[in-house]
Amino acid sequence: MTTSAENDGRVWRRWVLRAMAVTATVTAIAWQVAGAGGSSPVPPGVPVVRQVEAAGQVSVLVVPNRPGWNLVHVGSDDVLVGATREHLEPARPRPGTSGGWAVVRLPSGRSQVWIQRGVRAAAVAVDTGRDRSPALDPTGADGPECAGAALGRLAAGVAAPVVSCPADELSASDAVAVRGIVRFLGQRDQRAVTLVEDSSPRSRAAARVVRSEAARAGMAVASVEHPRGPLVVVSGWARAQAAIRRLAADRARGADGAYLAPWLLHAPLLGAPVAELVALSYSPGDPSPQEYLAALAGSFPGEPASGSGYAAWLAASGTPEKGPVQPVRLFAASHVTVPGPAAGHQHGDAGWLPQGTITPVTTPLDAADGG
Amino acid sequence: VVGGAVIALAATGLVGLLSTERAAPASDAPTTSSVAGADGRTYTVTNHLAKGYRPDQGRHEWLLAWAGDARPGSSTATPKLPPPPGKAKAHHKTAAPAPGSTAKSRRPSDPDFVAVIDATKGSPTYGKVVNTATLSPQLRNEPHHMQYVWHKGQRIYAGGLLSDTTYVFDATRLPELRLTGVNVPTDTSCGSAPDAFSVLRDGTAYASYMGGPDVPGPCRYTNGEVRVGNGYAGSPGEVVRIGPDGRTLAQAPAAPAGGEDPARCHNVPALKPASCANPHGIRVREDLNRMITSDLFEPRDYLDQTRPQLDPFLARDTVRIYDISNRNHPKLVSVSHLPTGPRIEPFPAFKEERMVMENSVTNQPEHRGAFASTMAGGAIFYTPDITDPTPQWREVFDDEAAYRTYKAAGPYGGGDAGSWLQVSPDDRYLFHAVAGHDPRDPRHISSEMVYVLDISKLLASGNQPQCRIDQIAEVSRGGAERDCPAVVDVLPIRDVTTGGPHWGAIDNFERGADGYYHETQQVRRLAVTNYIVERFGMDGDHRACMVDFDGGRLSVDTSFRDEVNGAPCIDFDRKVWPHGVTGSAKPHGVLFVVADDDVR
Repeated sequence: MTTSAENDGRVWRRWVLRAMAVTATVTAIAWQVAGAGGSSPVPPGVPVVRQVEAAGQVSVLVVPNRPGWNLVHVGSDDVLVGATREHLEPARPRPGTSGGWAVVRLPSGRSQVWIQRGVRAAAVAVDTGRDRSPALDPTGADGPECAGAALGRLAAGVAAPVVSCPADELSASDAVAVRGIVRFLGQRDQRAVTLVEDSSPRSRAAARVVRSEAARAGMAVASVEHPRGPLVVVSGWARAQAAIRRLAADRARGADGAYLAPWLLHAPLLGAPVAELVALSYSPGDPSPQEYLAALAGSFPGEPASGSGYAAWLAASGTPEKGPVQPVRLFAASHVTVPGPAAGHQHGDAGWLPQGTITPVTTPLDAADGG
Repeated sequence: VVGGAVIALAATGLVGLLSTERAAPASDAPTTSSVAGADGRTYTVTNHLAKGYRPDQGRHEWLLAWAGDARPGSSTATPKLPPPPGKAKAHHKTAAPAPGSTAKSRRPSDPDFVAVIDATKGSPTYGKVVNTATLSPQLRNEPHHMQYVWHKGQRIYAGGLLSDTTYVFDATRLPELRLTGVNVPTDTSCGSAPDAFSVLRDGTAYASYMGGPDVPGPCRYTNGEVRVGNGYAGSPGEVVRIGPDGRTLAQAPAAPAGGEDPARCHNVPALKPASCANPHGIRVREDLNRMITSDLFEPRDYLDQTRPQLDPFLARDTVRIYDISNRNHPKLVSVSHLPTGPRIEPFPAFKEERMVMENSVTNQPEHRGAFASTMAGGAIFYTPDITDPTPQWREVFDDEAAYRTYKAAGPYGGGDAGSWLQVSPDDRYLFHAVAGHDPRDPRHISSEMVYVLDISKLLASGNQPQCRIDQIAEVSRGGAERDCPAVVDVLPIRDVTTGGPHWGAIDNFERGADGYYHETQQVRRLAVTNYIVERFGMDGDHRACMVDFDGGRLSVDTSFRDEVNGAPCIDFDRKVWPHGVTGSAKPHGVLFVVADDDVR
């Protein structure tokens, strides 16, 4: 049960965070108007996205751009990253993501993040200010998703600090989507599902929704260690990828498929050799998601779109989705290719799922609360 | 009750025409027509007549091209001329943004459209794109095929391969089109990836849905039968009968109830029972109550990028024949594995029988045969009687014999993307488009062509054909038996991209002395488009060419010229269209159509 004190606390926290965001935005705009120049750092606390020249163009994201540990994302996995040119570490892949990732400790105030590919190095100027990030744990499994949300805001042209991450809580709309998945499976007389969860607040809350709805439908909920029936995935990206890959390798169960929460709409998680269905209240082919896709490509070329990034872009851009709010449906996500040696010779078709398709395949799900 | 009925009508896809506006002739205002889909969305087609274009009083023939928006990074950057040495893969590089352009947005997708091109030879606007009928709200449909041949009174069925959506157009007011129906993914729950269409005499159409059911698990067809599938873009595919209003009339299984040989039919993930049913080509002989589909491949990708993609048993070698005496209950009669041929290939997936993309039936009452062609195998097969419950298929031609007429040095062999296949209405000729060899070959080696075979002797052999390509010498020279198809002509069509001439249509009309158009059985010209499916990794240079045929020679019609660059063939890599500055587009299906009032 939620108490009124907790509610008051949340309201106060939201007000403070919103005020911080507004202040940072105003500062950023003032900084831009003042003509600080492309090489000067952006305001402290505002994630930094840049294109640098290091044996070709490399996209770089520094988040949260605060003193201490920062997550540095580069659009390539053959890049070294560091706080000084003398101490560079490889930016490594992370599960469920693309490109390379590194955790870099930055000092307070102005400094540089160094990028090197081959023998070519480049620096990105940053100013971390004095305040530490209240939100992002760059070492955590959900860091890349949080960075994707930050990119969404930047793509919307909003220079705001990171004050929360998508995995911090289960949104009401995501709860509806998760509920809809379980009810859909119940209506197909599915007797058991395998729940993929993790320890984030969002995942724990979503798992409670799954268990509650499954109990209502008389469905058993199995663990990934003892799987039964299709996967219902409400974890973060990293755990989701591991579970989907395990399902794909299971010849006996692969055809059961995987049902994914909305925040798992992210190309690196899709296209596995199993049927993957994502619960969404929008179609990625619609104008608004396409505008986000285009904006993201302008900010960080090659970065796969994500459900969390789109939600952040939508909120930051301040424009409601074009057209009426849509009900939650299941969307099938699938790669498509030609068998044989010709396959794999594919061009950079930039979409939500390059070389694939995300298609609505159900009528609106029954997802009303308490129904 | 009334409200429920209204909802039911919408939910079952009984499409309600919401609005139809027709601008006054003097106005440049686009006309629109809309229908409600079963998904609750309103689908709209908007006609954009070319600036300054005014329909004249004369009768016209039109070439319709179903085209998708081409995104940056696709073959829009593909060189149309041979690249200099060392630059053959330059088009793989993603265009880099300018330094510091971190907040610069790129343009989102533009709408897909049907281009209406004046195909009236001698007309002042011959080759001009006089209208683009754009679709909304669905973007990135991956426009694919329309029906093979259009006849007076028919609607036009156009499939979005990757949106799992079929659009139905009324063409009576050409050059403008009117949307009369839409069939959305939930209308075809047992199949996905609509591919090709054959329209029946009653105006309904059979469609091949190459991919598996929308949701993994059991799926129930209209006849009550159930098959288990491994999900969207997987297996088994199905056959759908669609009404002229876009409504699904029937979903029918393409897979037999007991499944198929798991050793010859692989599925990813594995299916129990196994299935090879991934129908691509679909043809109908209503007089024989038979329908035939040919299986291509299971379209879904898989994680392991090296091993499974070489699995030849994902590249289908099967052809299916159905009894359609009950049009809403197509009943599978036979599933045939094509015979293997004499070629030795480095990849088993390139053997003659692999990836049966297309088929084409004979047309005359005295003939009952059908042909099938393979995309990976580069060969053509024939069976003399599709009413035979155990049809005997035989290889009757290898593409190499066509290549040898103009390319002494090759490349030859499998993987040449054999595509569109069409028997002429008089059953004398067989036309075939070949998009070209393995994209791993250097792109300056062009191996794209359209060829025509004389099949009259083969058909004259009735139920006792002798032709059979079973010796290696017959691969290059054509079959040794007297009734084997004979090469009439081969037309190379140069395309240095990863694709080439993939789809085509015959012109089945001629203008009579009365000034009206009439259907003809003699094919005098055809159209081909250079595009496959970019998202499959097989693109094309996005041209639509008109090809004349005088009974002996194929030749590009050099008077069918692009209005922008002045060169023969219509180039869809242009900046400006009647609907705006939307840039390159990818033309796939093409069709010759005449306004109903202009056909007698």
